[in-house]
Amino acid sequence: MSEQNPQTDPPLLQVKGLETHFPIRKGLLRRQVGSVKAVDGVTFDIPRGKTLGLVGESGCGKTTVGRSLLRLVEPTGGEVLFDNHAVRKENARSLRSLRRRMQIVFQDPYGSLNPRMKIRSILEEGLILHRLGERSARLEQMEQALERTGLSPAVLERYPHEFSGGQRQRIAIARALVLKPEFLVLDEPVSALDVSIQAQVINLLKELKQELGLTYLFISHDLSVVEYLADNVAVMYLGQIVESAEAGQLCQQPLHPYTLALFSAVPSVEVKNRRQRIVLAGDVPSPSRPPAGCRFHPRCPLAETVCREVEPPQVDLAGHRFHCHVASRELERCGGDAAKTSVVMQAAITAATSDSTEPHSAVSQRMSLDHQ
Amino acid sequence: MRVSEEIEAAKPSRGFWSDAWQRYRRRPIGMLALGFVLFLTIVAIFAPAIAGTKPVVCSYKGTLYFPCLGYFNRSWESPIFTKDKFRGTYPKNLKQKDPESWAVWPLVFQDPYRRVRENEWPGRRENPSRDEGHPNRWNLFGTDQYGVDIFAKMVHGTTIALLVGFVSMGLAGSIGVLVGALGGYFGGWVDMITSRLTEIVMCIPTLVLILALIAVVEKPTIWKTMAIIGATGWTGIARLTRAEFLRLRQTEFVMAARATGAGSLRIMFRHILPNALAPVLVPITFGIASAILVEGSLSFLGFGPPPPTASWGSVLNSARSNLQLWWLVVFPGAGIFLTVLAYNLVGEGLQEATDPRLREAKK
Amino acid sequence: MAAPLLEIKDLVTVFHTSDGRLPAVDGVSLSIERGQTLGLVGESGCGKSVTAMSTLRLVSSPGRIESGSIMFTTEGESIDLVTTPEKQLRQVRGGRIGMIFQEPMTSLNPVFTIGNQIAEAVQLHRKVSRSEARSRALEMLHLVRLADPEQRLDAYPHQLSGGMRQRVMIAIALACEPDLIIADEPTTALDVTIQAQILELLDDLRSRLGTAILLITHDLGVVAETCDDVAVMYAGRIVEQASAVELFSRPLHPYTIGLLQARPNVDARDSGPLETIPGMVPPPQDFPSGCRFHPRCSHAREPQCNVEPPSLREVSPGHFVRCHFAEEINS
Repeated sequence: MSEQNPQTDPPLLQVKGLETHFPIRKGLLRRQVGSVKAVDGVTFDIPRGKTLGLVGESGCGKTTVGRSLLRLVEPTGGEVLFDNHAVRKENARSLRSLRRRMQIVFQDPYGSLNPRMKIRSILEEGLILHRLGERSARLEQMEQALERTGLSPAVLERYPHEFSGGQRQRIAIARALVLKPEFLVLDEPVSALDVSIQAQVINLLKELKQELGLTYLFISHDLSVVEYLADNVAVMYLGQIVESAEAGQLCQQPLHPYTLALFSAVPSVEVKNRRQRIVLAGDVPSPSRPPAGCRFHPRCPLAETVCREVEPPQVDLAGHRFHCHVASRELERCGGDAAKTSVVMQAAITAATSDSTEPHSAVSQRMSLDHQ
Repeated sequence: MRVSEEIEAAKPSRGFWSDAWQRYRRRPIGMLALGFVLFLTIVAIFAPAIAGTKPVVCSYKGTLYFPCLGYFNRSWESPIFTKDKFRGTYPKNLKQKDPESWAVWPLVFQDPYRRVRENEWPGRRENPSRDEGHPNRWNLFGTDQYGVDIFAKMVHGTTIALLVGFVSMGLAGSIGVLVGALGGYFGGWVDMITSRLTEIVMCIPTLVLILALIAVVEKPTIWKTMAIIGATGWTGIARLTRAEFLRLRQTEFVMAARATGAGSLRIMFRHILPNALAPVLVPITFGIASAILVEGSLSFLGFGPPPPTASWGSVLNSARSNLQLWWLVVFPGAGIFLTVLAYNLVGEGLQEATDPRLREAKK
Repeated sequence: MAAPLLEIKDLVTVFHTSDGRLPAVDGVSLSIERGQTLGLVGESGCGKSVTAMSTLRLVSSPGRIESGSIMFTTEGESIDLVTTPEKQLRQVRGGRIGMIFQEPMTSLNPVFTIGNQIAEAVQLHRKVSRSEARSRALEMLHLVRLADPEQRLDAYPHQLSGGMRQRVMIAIALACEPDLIIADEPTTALDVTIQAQILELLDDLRSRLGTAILLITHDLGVVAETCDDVAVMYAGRIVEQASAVELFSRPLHPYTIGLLQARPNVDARDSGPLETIPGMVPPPQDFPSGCRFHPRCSHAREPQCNVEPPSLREVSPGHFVRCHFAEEINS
């Protein structure tokens, strides 16, 4: 999927079988009665200078993945290699120096800046903690970071509440940049912003990546943003990655039923070709009791017996990886042609969802009669 | 392109506290209450200069002395006056022992600890006592049954009234914030221990504990009373701080500080505490008011500081057996009432000025 | 032709604050026909929600409807919601006009069961017994296709997921068979797959029950997929209004064009940075003179744009634009 040779240039970030489970405790003795499997065996690589887009709906664990990488929440299993450092094995001191190189930008620009601190203290804190430069050097670095994010040095003496959402998000990005990191976790950085501001911040992120050679993990629920920014995309569902591929490949030839549904659910402004929407039934199940077999089967229109019982193995089609019994069977039938398989899957799901459109219940039919 | 060009011309930047002050200032009642508290503070500091029988400044045998400081601490009164046998009466002694001497006297020549005798001040009669002691020209608030001036007692009692509030709540605030912060931030077993501790202390009725301790302690002083009020009064503050810390440690700015590399202590005290301070400050203000009431009740019951100390509660106590002396009830009662009211109003104003929800409701 | 179901004319809603008189809604006119869906789009702070709240006179102090009329016509009878007495208005609220809010968690009362809350809405407007109200509640849950309605009837809001709660909100709004539903960002808090469910449900209910919908949203995609007509709001005013097909195929106002171009998609990936609208939405205290969009508009020309406020003109049948140079820009 990428031109780089893995032998000569190992990926900046390698994640293998990452697991983050949160204990559920109950009772007076706080005994553990179960666990929320927020992230349950996630594997991916991010080559240096590339962007991985992590897409999924709320509760799928994508935010926990981002936080686990930086050990802002402690992972319970798996391996995270950052530039050949095993992040999970670092002690407090070496973790601190790693944190300088791995920074994070949060979703909520109103919650992520301390309201009682001036922008100066917010930006300066990291420099002080990591002993980067004297007072004047620090100021220079802060001004540089602000400059890069399109802000003037005058903001230093102001408080967060004086800025709009877009400006705050720029400040949050500047806070990350001031430490000169190599890797940025962008946790829904534009979801809370208005459309016109969203585009400004997206452009800024793209620009910074090119100028500074940054590597991103871009987490979002918004497929269109991810498609636009990411080199590779991974789709998460209930703590696992169900499909991942190069961005263009994934958009044009999605194979997993969930990815297909996700794409069709994104509202488009093309009025003329209102697509046949795939409307999934039901809600995302609780990650404390994930379904057996394929985790998506309770909502999947194509679910078969095997899906309810056997966890689907990963299929790797030249970097296009997915976990689905049905899709892998169809792929075989199509002789390994992803494009063809994608069309077949799309047709199958559309057929399955349209004929299962619930017959109007007697009650609601009566209702509509009443009304007339 | 710079996004923030327009910010530079905007109005000056105001932090949270100066913003809160701007809002507080708009409330006339809150300002009045704050003014009253400041007035009391000034009275407390300058008490010996307002009422007393010792000169504020005097020149005696060619040297300057400040005998009035003796009201704060016996040893601050120069030993020369003891050596020269002044026996606490300055006006006559100064003139007799050094005709050259001069003195600046307090505004009101009355003593909070003893009866002023006849001719102690040239031409002044002895303080009346008992039924005759109602307010008059020389005794603005009257005198108690022993002829001690109530005004002087009230003025000097202000110090205690304020100290009780500040010292006990300062102690309670420190303990409460620390316990609450530890429990709320670390959670788990730390929270378990601090929460149970808080609950245990909450079960102890302050007044009973104080009475019990006074019975045990050899020399009950006002400081010990304050310590006890402080050591038992922190539970509400601890619970509030814990709740704030629990809420704030989940916020993204705390997460961001950790991502920057900040340690626990720094996060607790630099990031979380300033955000938790405003809601905690409000109960502290209310706590000051209730500490003053507790001290008042203690003194009224006769468990206050030992007799020579002047406190508003002890004046009330002396009225207990002399209910016909109305001035012994009215003036200290009004003093306590107004002070408590003022603190409560300040607390309320603080709440409105700092509570973001109330602020939004105004928008 | 009969009067439209809802006709808002020159609505002005003002907030009086320490910053002065802030016109959040400044001369908005809209009309909705029976059974139609009108989308009201705009970014935060453009006044779209205040318009919705004004329609039911739910704007709270210091906000006040200063002028304008809101004619609501049902069963051949017209009332002006701006001047009608409070008592009569209460009959309209929840009775003839239902409302759905953005946050389904906070708009349901956590201490009552779902069944109780729907039944209450019914009993407020109809003289029915408790058991009748309850069976009506059950009927409504069937109608909004909530799974296991019999069991959910006695569930509390926190036991439901976001999507389910929004279905319950819709059930409450529909309980009295209103003629109009005002949906204020009904899917913003939901995930895309759940959003698709809710939008489909709304569309389906509209075609079956003939309820008109005023859909307020910031998402142009949602509007394109569900609405018949669209009005775009900016800084308290409507800047463009047309049928959905017309607006999305031939947007005329620079703001609408900007919004459409700012949407990222995979096709735009290799064609350089996204088109953006520079600057930000002005707050009501700093509304610019002339055309309120001119400081952010790349086509703005002095002296017209910064002095003379453009009027909402009909440039082609049914397509209204508030721009001096709409034709020139798009030719």
